[in-house]
Amino acid sequence: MPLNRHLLRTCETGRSAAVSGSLPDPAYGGLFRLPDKGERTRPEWSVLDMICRERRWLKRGTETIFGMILSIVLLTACATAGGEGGGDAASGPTRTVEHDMGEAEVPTQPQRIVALELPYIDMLASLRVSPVGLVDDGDPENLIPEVRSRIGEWESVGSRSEPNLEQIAKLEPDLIIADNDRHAAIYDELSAIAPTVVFTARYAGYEKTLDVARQVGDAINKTEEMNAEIGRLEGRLDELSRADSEGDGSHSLAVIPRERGTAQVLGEGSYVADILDRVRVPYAPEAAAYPADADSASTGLEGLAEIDPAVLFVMTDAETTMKPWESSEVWRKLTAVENGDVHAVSRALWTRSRGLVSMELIAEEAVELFDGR
Amino acid sequence: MARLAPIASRPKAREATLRAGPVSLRLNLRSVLIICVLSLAAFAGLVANVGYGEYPVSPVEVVRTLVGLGDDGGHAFVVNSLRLPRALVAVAVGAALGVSGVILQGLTRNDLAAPDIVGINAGASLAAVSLIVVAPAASIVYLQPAALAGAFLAAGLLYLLAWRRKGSPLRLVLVGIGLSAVAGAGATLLIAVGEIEQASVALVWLAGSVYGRGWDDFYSFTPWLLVFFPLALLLSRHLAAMNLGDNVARALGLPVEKVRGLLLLTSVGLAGTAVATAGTIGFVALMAPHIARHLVGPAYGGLIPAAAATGATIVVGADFVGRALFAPVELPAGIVTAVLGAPFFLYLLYRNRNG
Amino acid sequence: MLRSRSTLLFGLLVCAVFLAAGLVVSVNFGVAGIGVTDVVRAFGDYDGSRDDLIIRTIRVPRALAAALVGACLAVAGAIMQGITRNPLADPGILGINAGAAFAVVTTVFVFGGTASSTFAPFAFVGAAIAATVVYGIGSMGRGRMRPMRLAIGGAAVAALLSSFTTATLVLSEQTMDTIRFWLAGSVLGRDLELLQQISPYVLVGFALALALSRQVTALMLGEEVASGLGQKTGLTKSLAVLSVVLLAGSAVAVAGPVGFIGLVVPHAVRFFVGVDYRWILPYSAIIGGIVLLGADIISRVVLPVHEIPVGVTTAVVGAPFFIYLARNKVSQ
Repeated sequence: MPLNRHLLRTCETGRSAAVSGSLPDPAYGGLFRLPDKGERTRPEWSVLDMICRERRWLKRGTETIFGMILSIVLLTACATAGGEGGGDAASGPTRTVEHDMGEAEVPTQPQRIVALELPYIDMLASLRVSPVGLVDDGDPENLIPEVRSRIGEWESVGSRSEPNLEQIAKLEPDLIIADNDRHAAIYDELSAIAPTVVFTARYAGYEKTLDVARQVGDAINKTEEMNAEIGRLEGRLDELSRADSEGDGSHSLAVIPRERGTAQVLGEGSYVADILDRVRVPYAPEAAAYPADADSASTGLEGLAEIDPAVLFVMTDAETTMKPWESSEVWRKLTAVENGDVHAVSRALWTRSRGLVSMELIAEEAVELFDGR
Repeated sequence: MARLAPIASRPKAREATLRAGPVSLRLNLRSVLIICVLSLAAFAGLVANVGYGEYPVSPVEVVRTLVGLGDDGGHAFVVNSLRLPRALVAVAVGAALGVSGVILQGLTRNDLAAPDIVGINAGASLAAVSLIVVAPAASIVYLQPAALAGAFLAAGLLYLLAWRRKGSPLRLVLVGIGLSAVAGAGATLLIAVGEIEQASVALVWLAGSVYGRGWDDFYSFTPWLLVFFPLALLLSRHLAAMNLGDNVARALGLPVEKVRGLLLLTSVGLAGTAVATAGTIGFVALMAPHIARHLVGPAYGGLIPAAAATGATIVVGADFVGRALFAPVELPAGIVTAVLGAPFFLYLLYRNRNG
Repeated sequence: MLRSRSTLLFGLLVCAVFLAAGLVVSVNFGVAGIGVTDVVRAFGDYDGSRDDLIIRTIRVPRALAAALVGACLAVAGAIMQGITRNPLADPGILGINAGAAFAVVTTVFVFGGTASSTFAPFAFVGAAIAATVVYGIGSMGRGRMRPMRLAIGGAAVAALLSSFTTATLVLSEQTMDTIRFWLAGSVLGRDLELLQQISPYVLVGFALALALSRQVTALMLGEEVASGLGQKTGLTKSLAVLSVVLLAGSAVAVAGPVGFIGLVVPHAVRFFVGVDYRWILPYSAIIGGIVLLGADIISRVVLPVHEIPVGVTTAVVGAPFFIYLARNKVSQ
């Protein structure tokens, strides 16, 4: 039983906490005891009496209270600084894996992996490693079909923002791959369940995604396999790469529709723009004005018209569609719309999956659509 | 709207006086009984919460584990590291919110004043949401202190703006509503422009949830409770004197401004730490004092523990309902309390229509 | 503070000129590099080119939307302050915006983001329910409506509804992603179709407000005064609440919950114009329009790519004003 040692530890802390969590008994009064002149044996109290006594108390008490508050702040700060979660020593051989939140002792051959963000699932799928548990936000469609077919059966452990800890524990994983942006606050709890490694998938462009993939490969002790897969992907992308990135000066642009005809433009250096760049699908230079890593940049049709790309990739899903735009005259005047080069692409694939499997698919789709203009 | 404590009248029921140093609590025996029943209810909620889940654990087994007799390997881990700290945090947060509400309602002589309404929660939210959105990496370590600082900042502003010159509870509430609106607008902005991942984290926090709370959260929270809860009890009878009005209290020789400052500090300390630990679990600080007052009457000595027990029961119960209702999808406890709070709040307003 | 009729009329004209100027300035600002000459041509010599279309179908509607929303909110706020005799009344603070926002978020949650063109009716229903509840709270019981209870009741209803909104958003990250910019209050991407949809409601709301202006002035002076003048105060108030729902509901349907305009503008207007609602209302409408137009231009200029939701700009200006009012205008 790999958890034994930890179990013992948490049992003990649990018990002592249960005791210290009970309400204090009136003995606390001793803390504030003042020299008293024998009046306090009077059985009844009057407001006046009480106030007279406690005015004195207030004078000194205030200082005591502030002193105590200060000491709590200090103690809490120390406790927070000293408190250090860590991987759990499992039975069998382990190796130390470095990650965003420290180090974890991971089994040499993890068999039961739980992945808590879509990119890690994609990266595992690229090595044909099937996680036993993963987050799908309650809908299997959130995983792209290619990844689904690669990993086969899985058990959902809830949503990416609040994975169900008990379901994870029930799966008895020997490795949990979590995300820094979403799961940092529950790192201690996850580590108590199984060795947990934390990476950051969110801001990854093309190269950084490869780095994260290497980290994931290292965490499951398949460094060689991952490098081979990355090599294969690079080869495939070279093969896909368009010969001439300049061409006739046409550019592409990727956007996510937002409410009421507004749009989020994916800036230069963003994940998608980076992949397009990798296969020499020219990306609109105006996108440089938009941030690479922010959701916040919102623009209207006016902004789109100003960029006016030759090919427009619009990331859609069941809830986000191009429909609000279609009635607009400005939309119909866009070059891409007039030439029929607006393409609805899957948001799950283009923005959420973010791994080796999806990068290859995005590159294939983008090149095909761009060359077909 | 003020509900005055009949501090001058002697209760007819049997009573006991607890004295320790300058503290004396005169407790009506009926109140003691009710407080015990309420505490039992909170404990039952705790046991239910600990027993329910992927591995069901029978109540008897839960109690055995709690007192250290449990030896069932697989369950003990889930119970001790996942469920128990979470349930204890719910209990502690509920108790803190309940007491905070009692003090604030007494202080403002207003039945509807609660940290949610007067901007203390909003101040904490704004601080926490800013940290989550602007510096996500730092948010794990500094979230609690930041939220606490936000609550105190809001309370400090409240005190400065509303009380410095001419204290009036009414103005306090109105200025609080204004502060709440400002902070709310700030939090909305951050959620609108932040990354979706962080906005999502911030939103769960805003909704108020004890999801994923562990022993470290519990340990960093309890010391505050241990300071402020006795302080609340100590100050409870000043609250009774202040209820007679500032002038009466002043005539009785009470340093009104100082006591008010201390009471506010206590209330904010409790609400702020609770919000820092579990997010903005709404309406508990509004509901618990009313229920408690209904059960044990308006004398603050009994009211404060009763409100603590009531608040604890509400939050731990809400967490249970939130976990059980749409399992395996979890509803944040704050949403359950808001749903409960709505009809309760309307009822309060209706009952006070002539007040 | 009484001014002569001709001074007031002249002032109103000056304000109207400012509003027109604000509209022109707003139309000239934008991402696309379109010069003043192009703007002139778009109206004088329309040739259907893309620049012309951008001006006609994007910028003009946006400017009109900002002016209209500002006017609606300011008039709604003025009426609310009048009938409740509460200097702090405002559609945002009294929970009406929160009601509309909750209704819209629920709509998106249930029907998905594509239903976005049909926000308006839901926003109305939400605003109406919230207004009825808050008004009911304020006027429950014996005696007159209590400003204090109204403010606290409104704040509590707002807190309640926004926690419901949060709940809905927590349940669906998709809904949040779709709606969160709207929740902060924004006039980006509003089109003429939407304005046409809501204009009947707005017109009825304005007409009702203006028709009631004499009665509201009397109410502002006191319920006894109004009754003494032979008014049916109950009827006046109900109709006034109806106009508030129409105006505030339209504003939220167009721009989302934009706060504080309804609070600040009427106070500023009252300072110059006095207590007569026959003047306060038109002034509020025009100045409200100017203020929101200005706020929208600022939001576009400060960070050109990250458009700041206009509701944030108004909150930054309005909230300190609210606290000033609470400190100095509330005597009880």
